Amino acid sequence: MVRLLMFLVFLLAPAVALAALPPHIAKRIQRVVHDSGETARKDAALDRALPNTDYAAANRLAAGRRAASRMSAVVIAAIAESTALTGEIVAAAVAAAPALRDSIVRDASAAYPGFADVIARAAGGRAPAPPDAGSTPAGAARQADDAGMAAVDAGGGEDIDDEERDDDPIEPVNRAIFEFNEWVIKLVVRPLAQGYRWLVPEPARDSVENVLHNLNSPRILANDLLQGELVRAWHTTGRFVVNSTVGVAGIFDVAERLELPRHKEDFGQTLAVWGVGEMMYLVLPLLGPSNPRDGVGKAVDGFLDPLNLWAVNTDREYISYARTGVEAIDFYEGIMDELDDLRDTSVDYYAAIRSLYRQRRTSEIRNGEASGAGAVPGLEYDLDDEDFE
Amino acid sequence: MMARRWLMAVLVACLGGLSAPAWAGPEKTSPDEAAKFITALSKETLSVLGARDASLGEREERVRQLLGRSIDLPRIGRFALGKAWPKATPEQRQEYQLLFAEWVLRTYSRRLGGYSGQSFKIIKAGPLGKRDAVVFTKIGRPSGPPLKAAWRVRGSASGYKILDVIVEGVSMIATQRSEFAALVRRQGVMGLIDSLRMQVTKFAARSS
Repeated sequence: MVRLLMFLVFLLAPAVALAALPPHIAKRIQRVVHDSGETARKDAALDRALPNTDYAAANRLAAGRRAASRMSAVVIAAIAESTALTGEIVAAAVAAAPALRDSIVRDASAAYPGFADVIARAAGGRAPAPPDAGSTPAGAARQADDAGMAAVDAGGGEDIDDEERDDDPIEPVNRAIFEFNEWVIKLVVRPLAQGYRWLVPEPARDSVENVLHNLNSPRILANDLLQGELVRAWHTTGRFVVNSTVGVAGIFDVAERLELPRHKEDFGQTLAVWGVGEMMYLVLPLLGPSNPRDGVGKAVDGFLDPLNLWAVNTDREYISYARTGVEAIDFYEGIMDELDDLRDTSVDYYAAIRSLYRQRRTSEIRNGEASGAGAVPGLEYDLDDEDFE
Repeated sequence: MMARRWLMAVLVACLGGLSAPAWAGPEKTSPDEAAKFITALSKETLSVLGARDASLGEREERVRQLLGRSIDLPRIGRFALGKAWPKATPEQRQEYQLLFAEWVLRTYSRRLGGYSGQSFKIIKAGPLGKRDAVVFTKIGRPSGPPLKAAWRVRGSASGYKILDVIVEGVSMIATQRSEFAALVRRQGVMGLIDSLRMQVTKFAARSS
């Protein structure tokens, strides 16, 4: 019973808190909350539309900061107007936007150092750190900046905001594995791909790719279905039937001409559709850029592949190995020139590959290639001047 | 006392962007005009690339000039440096911008210079963000399926400029920003400037 009551209080708190205020102040607070909700919706649309995680995340962070500064401005203005209601105003603002609690308390107590106690008490929880020498938000910001500069002066590398950090907690290890992979590519994969390109004319290479893609059809179909993509599942089925028969075991991509476009799908993408995030960036030995989700996906894909299962169950693993090898050479041959160019022109090849891999992966997960017009439909992201600061 | 508080409140509210006045809104870029701009630019580029009588070096040089006046390099450069921009000294910024522009122009004119006889098709155009337009295109290749590229364009008093190109879902400026941030974190702004200088010098040595 007590719990139920507490729950009710929790539920009603924002409304009650707002009701204690003059209506126009309550309205202003609600407007900020409403607007940041709008922005969040737009950001969600952007996340879906823009196959580009770095960008979307930076955008979201900027929007969060804007909301925080607007809320602080509303609170400071409201306190100036009705000083007697300082506690109520802060309580209402915190109740309406709990996520902004810390910034509200910080900015309000910086603007009214004398009320710091009242503000902290109204916001609930622990008291804020006493406002430091910079008694205005601008002063505090300047101080933070100075601290940043000091950090820069002290070390070789620079202290960059969280939004600039890529999710790469084991970067040193990744870089080491990356170096190893580069070495393997240089010594083994690249010569093989070059030999393959020299030996096999382009139409025949296309046929090899067609056969490999056709072999992957059952796995792609399984993932189409697991993602609930019925149209794509139909395309995959149609392609497999047509290309395996009329297309002579997949050598010719007849289905492409029948308006059955090819696409790729794997269990990593299925997990992503199910809501599993990439967690972190991971460079796998020999396999290259990945993340825990896609690594697990790769393992599961092995079980979704009939040819692979048959080979393993009948002690013919060499078939799987041979197929994987040919796939690797075929894949590398296809992107060799672009990679050479990127390696040659980039200032940090590892970071460029990391960014490319993530953007491509996001695009694939959102099936960006399916839309006829291009990979970036109906964008909603803003590139404000402040994003260029 | 109360009046002063009021004044301060109004000031803070204005600074906080509470009352963003409508008249200060940036002008929008017309998608149709942006598409025309991209079409004209692509025609010009393809004619330069198709000039078989010119040497590879000459073609690269002409593409370079075209790109130089069509891409908003100062703005992109600032964006690519990200959070390190405010911390860089004026001298560092100036040197960085020069090297960045050179790096982008050399990289892309070289990438484009080798191609020939490509088809370039505008699919559609639409508004993007507060004031930009995006033009979706398909670029035919000698082999393989056509590339999908989207061009982010901003119009201003001085004409239309490209802000970003998104090829198969990969944004050029997002990649650069991410790449630069990684380098700055490890070696600082000076490390980035040194790397850019090294790249640019490498290109220059090769083309001379």
